[in-house]
Amino acid sequence: MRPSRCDLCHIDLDRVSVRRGGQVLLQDVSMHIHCGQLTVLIGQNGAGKTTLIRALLGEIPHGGSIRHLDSAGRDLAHLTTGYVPQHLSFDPEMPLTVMDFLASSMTRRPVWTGVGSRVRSQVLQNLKDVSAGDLADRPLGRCSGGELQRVLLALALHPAPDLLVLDEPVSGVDRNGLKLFLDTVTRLKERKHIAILLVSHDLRLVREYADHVILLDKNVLAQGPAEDVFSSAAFDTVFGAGAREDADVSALPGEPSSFSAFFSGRGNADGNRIPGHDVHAAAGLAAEKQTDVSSSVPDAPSNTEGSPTGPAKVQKPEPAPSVPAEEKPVSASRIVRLTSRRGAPKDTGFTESSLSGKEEQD
Amino acid sequence: MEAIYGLIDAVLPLEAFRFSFMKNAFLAVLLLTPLLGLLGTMAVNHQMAFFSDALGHSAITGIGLGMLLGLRNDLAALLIFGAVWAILICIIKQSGSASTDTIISVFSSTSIAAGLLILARGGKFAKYSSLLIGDILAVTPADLTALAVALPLGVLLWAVMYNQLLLTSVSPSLARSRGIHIRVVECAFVVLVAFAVMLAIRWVGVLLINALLILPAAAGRNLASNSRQHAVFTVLIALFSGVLGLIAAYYGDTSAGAAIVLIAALFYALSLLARRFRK
Repeated sequence: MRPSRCDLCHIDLDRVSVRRGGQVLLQDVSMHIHCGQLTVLIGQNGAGKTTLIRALLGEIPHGGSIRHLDSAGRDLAHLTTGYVPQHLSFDPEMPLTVMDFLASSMTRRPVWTGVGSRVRSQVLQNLKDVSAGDLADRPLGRCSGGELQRVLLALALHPAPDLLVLDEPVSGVDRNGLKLFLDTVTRLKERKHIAILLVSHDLRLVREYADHVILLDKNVLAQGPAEDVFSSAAFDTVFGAGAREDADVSALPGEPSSFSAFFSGRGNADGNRIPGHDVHAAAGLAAEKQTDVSSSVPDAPSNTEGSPTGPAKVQKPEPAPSVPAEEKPVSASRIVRLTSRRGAPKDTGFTESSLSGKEEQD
Repeated sequence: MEAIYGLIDAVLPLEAFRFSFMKNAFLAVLLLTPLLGLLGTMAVNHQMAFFSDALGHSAITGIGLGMLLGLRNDLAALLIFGAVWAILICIIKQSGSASTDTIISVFSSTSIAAGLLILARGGKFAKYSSLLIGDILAVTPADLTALAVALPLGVLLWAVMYNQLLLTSVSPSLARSRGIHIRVVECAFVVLVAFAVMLAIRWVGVLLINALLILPAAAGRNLASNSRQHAVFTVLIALFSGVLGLIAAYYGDTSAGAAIVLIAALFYALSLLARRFRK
């Protein structure tokens, strides 16, 4: 795998859990999102992908910790996150150009008074960086799905983020637009000092572009290079064996896989049937896994196992730790209370050994 | 004031402006319509037309409560009540307990009923019926001074919050990810709208206030392709509608507020045609 400029700088998620209304949305999710890599999150609808993104963005309370660490495992001061949302809810008839939209995030001067020449040239440069230089004066509502994604990417890249989160940019975008978007992301990854997390439903493109794939269903079922994750038993359980063939890159170019065709342009409806796969059965499986997970406390290192470049490891709930709960150095909820929302922890409660122990996993 | 009156006589030597009450109304139109129009651009883009209508209706309760509490200054009662009511609607809307139009409808009808209940006691509502249709010819020089302070202040506040509100109206989650406190920004905007509505309500009236807020912005939107054009077209349409409506009402001997709104509606119809041709 291509070495990045900062291969060990990463965003460390340690036993991140989210519960709402008595329901477990995420359970002990641990992963590293490495700088200079495209990490792709896959999973069924309702697997918790968007919940995980919301936790990363600091939108929802969560247990466990999310930290930005350097190569030596030291906390970096602040995690700046760029975000490309799944879809926008704006009125397409709004008289708002791409220039107005991007300028409004870069300057205090209200854009109805116009855009100054300095900001204008900066916006034009930002758009050129994402192959969208010709869109500046186009009304936002007249951009195609692919163009809108590139505009949102230009917005997310300024100020320069440490972590770039791309939430399902495949929806409503044709395959060519999607490839252009992913080519742009790949170029950025090689040029800039960014960790990229992409939520994708297009397994064929995941296989083509991802450096590291994480299969999620409330917790991490498998992670590693795409080939390894796709050949794992957990992948077959979640998507059905047919999905692996659909994701084969040797399929005709331009022909969407049945899986991606099902999702493309569909927005974010939940709970729909996936062709050839019984969602209810999958939901039942998820519930079963939840029970398993909640009945045991997975070991942190076990969930961070598998370096981004190493083979995929199907992660099973570990047996309850031998250390009694009261002897644990700090609980996940304690860590999150001590951790500033998106910045570095003020006092994480981690001992040096626990941190170095985690680093050994890389 | 005499110098300003002299200027009006020099620039607009019309019979209609011989009277000082018409000059005052003219100045009030020049101060009020641009502010309402500018705020209207976001109300239209943020799909809040119904919301501002509800705010206008709540003025009846504001006046009623002011009377009950023995406040001598109607405007203070209106501003306080308007701000409280706007924040309440905003908080309940953000809590997501029901759809926005349902919440606004509940607030709108509640405030009308509460206002009527208070003002109609002892059959005295006729005394307050001017609140429904307003009377721009009743503007005094003191009112104009208040408006002259309110206009730049309102535009300044509007300028400060505009970019954040724009990002919020495009995508709340995106705005949040960029550190914008979307609830605070939205509430600040509705309070500003509430203040502008309450300032204008005595002269424009509960029934017509929303038209002044929404119509110029809706017409401007049909003609504009970017934010700057939207603001410029809206302010121009609001000013022209205001001045033309005032003059037309004088010569037609009818309600100035109604004439202003009808001319704004005419501009809206023309803007729709222009938009069709442009496409």
